[in-house]
Amino acid sequence: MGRVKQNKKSTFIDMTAMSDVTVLLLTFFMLTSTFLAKAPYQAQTPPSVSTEEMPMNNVVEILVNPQGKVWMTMNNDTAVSASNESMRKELLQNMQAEYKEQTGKEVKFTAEQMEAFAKQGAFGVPFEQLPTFLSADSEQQDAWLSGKEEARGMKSGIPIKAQTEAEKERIRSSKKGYTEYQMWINAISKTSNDGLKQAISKGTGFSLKADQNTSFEVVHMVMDNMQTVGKNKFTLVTALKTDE
Amino acid sequence: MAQIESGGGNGKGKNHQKKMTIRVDFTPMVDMNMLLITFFMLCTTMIKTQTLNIALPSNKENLNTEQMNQASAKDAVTIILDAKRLANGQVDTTSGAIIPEIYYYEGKPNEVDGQIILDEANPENIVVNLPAGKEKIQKSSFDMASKDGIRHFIIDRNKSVLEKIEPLRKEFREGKMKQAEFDSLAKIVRGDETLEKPVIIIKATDAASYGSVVALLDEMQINQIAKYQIDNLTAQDKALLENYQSRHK
Repeated sequence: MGRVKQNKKSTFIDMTAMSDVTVLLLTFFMLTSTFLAKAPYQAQTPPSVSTEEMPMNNVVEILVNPQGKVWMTMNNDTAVSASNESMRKELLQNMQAEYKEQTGKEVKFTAEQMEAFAKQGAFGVPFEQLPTFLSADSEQQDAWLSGKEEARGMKSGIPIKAQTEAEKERIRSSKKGYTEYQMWINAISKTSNDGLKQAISKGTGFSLKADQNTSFEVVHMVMDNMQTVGKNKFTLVTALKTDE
Repeated sequence: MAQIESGGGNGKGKNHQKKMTIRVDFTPMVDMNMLLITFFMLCTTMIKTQTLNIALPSNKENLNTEQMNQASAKDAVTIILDAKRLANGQVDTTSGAIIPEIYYYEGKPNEVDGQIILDEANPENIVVNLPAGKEKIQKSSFDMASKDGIRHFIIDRNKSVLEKIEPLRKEFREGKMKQAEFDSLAKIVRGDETLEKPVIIIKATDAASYGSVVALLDEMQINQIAKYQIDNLTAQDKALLENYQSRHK
């Protein structure tokens, strides 16, 4: 009885080619990727045939959720002298001055809080709560921004209308009665970054981003706020729709 | 590929070496790469966001819009966006989204065939007196293929401009013209003062969805409307709309 001669076959699969391909793919993804920014609210932007691309920098993105909460993200052109961090710090100082001028109240920030704001991506809490917000750790900040801590008095969103009777009175009585949102817009317009300044006057400096199912009432309120401070030109963030 | 063969000749040589194969196993490397690729794929946004430029009229001088309305009562078209409502007037959200509804009227809001239809003695409660068998407001739809669709209406109103642009667009589609060239030529046609073209005023009720406003702004671009703007809903518009809706439930 002869034994069946079995061919000794190696099961070794050469992975070199596979490795080459994966490295190529990896390189592609690494180079083309722009990371999804952490946003307090994920909006599904409305489709449009407009092909104008959203600028990467020198733009302030205004995110609005269906409940009328507003957050902002400021992206400066880091290629020029204006670094994003220094510009944000400057914005906070401008806002501090603006807030004091409008309401007579001074909100103080420590050096660490200033530093924290400079590194902050999206911001949007009532200004009086901002120092406490900046001292919180990042996990708590996320919860705060997304409105999960509302019950504990941690309000999310920049107010776009008067919150209290006293504030209503202030806005009505004074000629330049601005809402907090408008104060932010004014503070942003005072930036020393020329690129952003030009973008604002050209109309690409402010981008309004809202979900397509937001009621027009909310969007209209934000638009109205913009009109009052004389920022009639801005852009709407849309997603590309292929032509029918 | 991943092996180095160090052959020891044919065995003729003095120092007979064992045939040795060095193989590097790339499997863990591929595993790791795949993980990294997955990470990058999931964390990136491939969809580039687009923007739509808009310019709102200044709300400090309403003069501007009034002038515009008066100067071009003949050309003025007001499009009003609203949401689908239930019988009790509440917005219908049973499908989870706002269903847009679209209405339009031509000319001044307060007259039909030269006859004044609005009694504005009480600005809080404007009374609409429509002549028998006449309608001021028309209901349209976002169904772009349909004859009742808003696109059909806009194209009809903007005929004279589109007729001139169509041959240009044909050339562009055939590749004889570049996008920038087409855009600039189309802009000249749109700016031609001798052509009869509508001035479209876009208004939306509070209940209308933001998406429908953008969709309508889009229509303006698609159909080469020279002049359009977003404006606030006036008391007259509200009265007309409510009157229409109460009769067409």
